[in-house]
Amino acid sequence: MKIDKKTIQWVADLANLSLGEEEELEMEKQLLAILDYMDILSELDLEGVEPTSHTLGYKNVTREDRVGESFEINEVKKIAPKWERGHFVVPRVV
Amino acid sequence: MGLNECTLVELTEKLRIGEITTSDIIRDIESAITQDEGNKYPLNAYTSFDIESIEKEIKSQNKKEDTLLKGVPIAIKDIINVMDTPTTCGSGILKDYISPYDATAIKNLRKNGGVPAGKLNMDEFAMGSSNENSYFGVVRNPHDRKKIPGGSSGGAAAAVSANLAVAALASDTGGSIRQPASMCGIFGIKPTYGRVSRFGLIAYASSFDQIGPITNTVMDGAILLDAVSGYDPKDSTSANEKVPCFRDFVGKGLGGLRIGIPEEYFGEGLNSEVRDIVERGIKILSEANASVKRIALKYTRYAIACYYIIATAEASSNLARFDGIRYGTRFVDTEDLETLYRENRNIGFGDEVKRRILLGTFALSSGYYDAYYLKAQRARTLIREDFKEAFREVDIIVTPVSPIAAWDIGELIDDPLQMYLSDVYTVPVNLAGLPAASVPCGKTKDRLPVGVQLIADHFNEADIFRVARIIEEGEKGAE
Repeated sequence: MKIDKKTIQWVADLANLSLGEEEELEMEKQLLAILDYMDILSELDLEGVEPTSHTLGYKNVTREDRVGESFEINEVKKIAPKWERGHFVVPRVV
Repeated sequence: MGLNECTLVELTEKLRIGEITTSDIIRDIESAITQDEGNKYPLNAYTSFDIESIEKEIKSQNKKEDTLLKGVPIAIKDIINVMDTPTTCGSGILKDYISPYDATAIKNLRKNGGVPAGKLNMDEFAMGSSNENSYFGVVRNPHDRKKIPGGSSGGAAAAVSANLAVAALASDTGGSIRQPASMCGIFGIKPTYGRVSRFGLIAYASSFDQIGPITNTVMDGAILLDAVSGYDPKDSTSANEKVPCFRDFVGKGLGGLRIGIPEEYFGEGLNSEVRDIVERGIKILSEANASVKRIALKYTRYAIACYYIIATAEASSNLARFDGIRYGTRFVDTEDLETLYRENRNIGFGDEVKRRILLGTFALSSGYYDAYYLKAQRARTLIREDFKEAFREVDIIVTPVSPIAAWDIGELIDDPLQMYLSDVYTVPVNLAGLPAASVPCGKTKDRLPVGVQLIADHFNEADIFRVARIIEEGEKGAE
């Protein structure tokens, strides 16, 4: 797998991270080595092998839709970095 | 002997007969922590140990019924939400976060008379094998303070080993309970995936994460696991399975038990001193009438690649929630929303967390999903099947925990791939969702502890406790 500066910038963009120039270089070098190693999986014949997402095979766990307890607005306010008149404060979006 | 040096068994008995109170134990723990802080190289095992809030916990403890834990204080890895205490996950982005609720494991702990007391240092978001990635600084190994304690539950292992806590609850995603337990010379068990509710455990890789105890003795581990296990409707991946009384299995004989030794875990890369110690453990078991058999786990060499693709993919998704809007720290304010996310995440996350987010985002991104993520999910099936087949022939698989004993602080920090490769014996267990423990089995010539890993089939923690106790006894006899 070839990754370069552009790939790192594209991935950082997707992940909502803004890396510094030095950081980009360092990550490029390290991810290149790591992804190179990951190629070991290409040795495997995976034709027809089902993917595993849950080791015990549980599927579609459902429950009754019932009203439960939730946080009081005051509790939410306590953990919010910025709060005004019952709302989270964010920069203007429209 | 201070109360901080007692086992859970001793403390619950003293509490039962009214010889001591929880506050007496806390006083001895506090004085041990203070003494450690005076050391030239403090262990730095806690992110917070706030006497005032612990006193409050003691006042509100369950005293109505006769409980299993009877008021014993349990230290908690700082990734588990404990109401009204800071839960930082070892990260800058959560340095100011105070939990508004209890994790289910903590609720169960309280119900059984446990008192959450102090939060333990860890690798940021449980990402690391050396506890060098914490916003709150490196944790040191009590057996040699220039060495790492292992990770990510390095604070938990160091605290329990040095008697700065009597027992701890931690979490294991790729070895984070077993590897530090091995390196600090104590007991730690990662239960079957689904055995303990993950509700309130801050998610790193949801299909692997599992809560478990780190304790000084095997019996203490069984007691603590008894206290926190069980189905929880709030965690859709928690298992609705009967929970046996684990402490009943500690001390049971091994007659007829079949032990499997996978050759893939004893090959190239395994330090010879570690190998000798693990082989001594196997000898103890065969002398205790277990039958020992060589087995094959032929997909072992693919486990690291498989694990680090899936774990980072899940992490990249789980950590998207940390954006400085609803909780956590907002370091800077910006003109537009997107810049706000980016700047704050960039300041709030450490290097290893960013590295894993990038890696995981890449593995999930369009164009690479099939080549990395899907391929790893398929390889995961092969590794799981490998174990399934092995457990037709044996009851417990015995392996090393880590290929080497604790290494020097700083030794691998600039080489993330080498650090990942050190997880080679622990990650396969998480890929398959199996229970596994590390039990101390001896020391290297440099006096560094080494544990052996005991792996069982799904929901068969009971056999792990049986076997672990035999090794614990045999090892004590050898000293």
